[in-house]
Amino acid sequence: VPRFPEGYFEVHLCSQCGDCQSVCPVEAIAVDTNGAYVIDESACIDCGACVDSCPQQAIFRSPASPHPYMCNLCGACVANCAAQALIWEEDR
Amino acid sequence: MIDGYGGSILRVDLTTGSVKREPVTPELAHDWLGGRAWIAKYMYEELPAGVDPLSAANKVFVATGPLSGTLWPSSAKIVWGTKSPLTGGYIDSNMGGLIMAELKYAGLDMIIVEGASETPVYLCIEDDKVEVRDASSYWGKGSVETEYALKRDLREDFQIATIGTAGENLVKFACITHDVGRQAGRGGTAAVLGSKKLKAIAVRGTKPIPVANIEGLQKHTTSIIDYMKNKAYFPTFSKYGTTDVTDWCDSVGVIPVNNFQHAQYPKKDRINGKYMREQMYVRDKGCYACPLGCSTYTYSKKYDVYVEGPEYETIGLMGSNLGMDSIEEIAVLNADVDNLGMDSISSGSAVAFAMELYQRGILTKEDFGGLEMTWGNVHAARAFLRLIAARQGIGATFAEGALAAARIIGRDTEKYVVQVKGLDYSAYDTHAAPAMMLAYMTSDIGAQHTRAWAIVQDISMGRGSIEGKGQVVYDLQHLRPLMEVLGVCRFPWLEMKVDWEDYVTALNLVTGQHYTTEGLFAFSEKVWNLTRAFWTREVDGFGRAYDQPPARMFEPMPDGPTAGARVTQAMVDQLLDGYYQAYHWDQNGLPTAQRLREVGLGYVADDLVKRGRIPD
Repeated sequence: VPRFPEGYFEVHLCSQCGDCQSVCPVEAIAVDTNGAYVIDESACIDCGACVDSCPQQAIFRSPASPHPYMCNLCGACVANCAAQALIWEEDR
Repeated sequence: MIDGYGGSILRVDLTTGSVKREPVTPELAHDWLGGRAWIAKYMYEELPAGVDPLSAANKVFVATGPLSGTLWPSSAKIVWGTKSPLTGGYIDSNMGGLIMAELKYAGLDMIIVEGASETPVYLCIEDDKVEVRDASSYWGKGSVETEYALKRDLREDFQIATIGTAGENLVKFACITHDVGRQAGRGGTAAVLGSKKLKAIAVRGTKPIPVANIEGLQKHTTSIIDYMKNKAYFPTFSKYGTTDVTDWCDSVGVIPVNNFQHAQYPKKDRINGKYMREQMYVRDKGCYACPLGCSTYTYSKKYDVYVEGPEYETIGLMGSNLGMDSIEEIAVLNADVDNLGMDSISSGSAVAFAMELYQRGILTKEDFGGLEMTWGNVHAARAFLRLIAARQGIGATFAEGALAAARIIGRDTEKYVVQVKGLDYSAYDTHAAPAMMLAYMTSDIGAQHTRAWAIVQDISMGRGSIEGKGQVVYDLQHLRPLMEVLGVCRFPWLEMKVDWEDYVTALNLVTGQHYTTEGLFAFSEKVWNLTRAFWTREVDGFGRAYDQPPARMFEPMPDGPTAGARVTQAMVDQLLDGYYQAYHWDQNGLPTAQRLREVGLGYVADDLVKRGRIPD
């Protein structure tokens, strides 16, 4: 008997652990003024070490860019969640 | 790059196995927008006149709209169109779920499926990689089973649309299934895919959709979501979805009972949304980017089945219309047709027609292979649906659709089929609802409610009155089909009263263009003329005779709130006269060459004149 889909959607958020920074071989990852880890694309060599290191799976590969994408705490997911199911921790 | 669009059309020829990408031109995007408008245009221009719907020369068009897959609330519609094997005319049918967004993430706005494969195949799209793959291991499986199997064999994050065994066996009301419980139900699009041996389409995309003014769209979207969430009706509709209309339909006497022989259901309290919630609720379900999430996953303990829904149309057509005892019987029938891959509206109509033939002694237990087709007999109904899907015994006759079955059976049984143009009625009786009836009569796919759900206006403006009803239908037929052009759900507009102008604003923020309501309504009328022209070209003798309500509406309603109500031919003629006039069509309901030229369809006018379908 077919049941329901067992899968579910996950939002991958940066937990600010800093693992990506510690594995980056060219020191292309730094903390920006918002307190978020960001990639300096001019220094990035696209090795993917940060993607593999991220325990939250919050760093992605995308065909749109050779460089990895990482959550930079921009808050767009919170602003755009149709069900308003995402909130900023500091707002709680 | 064109804002609002993935950028490409995928053309798949299943005869040769070739796959081609064609760019979406700025003219196609800005003059024809997308969704059902693209389907109408390509169908008229690319299908050879008089094509057999189940031949390799027919095509299936799968189109998203410029808002599909964007942030805009409930931008979750994808439209499937083809020449219908059920009606022989224009059909488009849309579904929700997630696949429309995935397709655009893969850079695609439309898929055109051509030709026919000799062996079962499925289409696998992963961004720029497109493959026609062997599907022999999925052939013979149900719609839902196939989706699970493909999710297992590919990856969870592929979005998949499938056909069931009904589609494989060319059942003329077979439907396309996606995300387990979302269907492009009407008109037998899945039978056309079955004739092409295309079992499924699987899509995974990772690219962004270009948007002209992303900040403006974010701001606009947030304000609309806030507006919707603050509506008093929001929690109720979110909870009950379309099932919430059941009680109302019963109270005003439009719920179909025993093949539209009655319009009020004594067991209403056992089939409504409240009872469903109490008995079977598991969890809520929403489509892409939808704040409403109006659907529900349910479980019937009695039958040990899981199903998404039932939605109101299924409650009407497979519940009260078959005399079923409770929502659990409806759930099991719903689960059956979902997995077999058949439209629950037309399936309900076919079973109801069979049960009425049994009631009247026209067909007997022997004719049904031993099944006692009494009202409410869920076991007989389930077995009968399986006979239809497999085209076994008498199932082969009903697999042609209820109207075609009546023509095969003969004996003056056509009058018991509740349909227009061969497409079965949705779940709103029209003994005393002239606007809703006109909507069914003139909908460009046959008797479907979504083009103009005018039943509300029938109640508010007076059941018996004809005055002003034509205008209601005319206006709704301009606005509502635009939802299927833009690729969005109509519920935020219909149920949460989101202003239409807000949709236009969103469209302009996404595309960077300057569309206006006036311009879009004129465009909608152009598309309406184009689909009418397609019918005119494809169906010999098409015209007023094809816009007639079913014979049942001329019989007086025996009981309930509309007791004694009946439709007269004078009423029908009055409705059609006014309607044709409003569209500037001729007395027979055919688009005139002059009008076609005025709405920007000069090439269509020339074509119909050349074919002798309309005078110059």
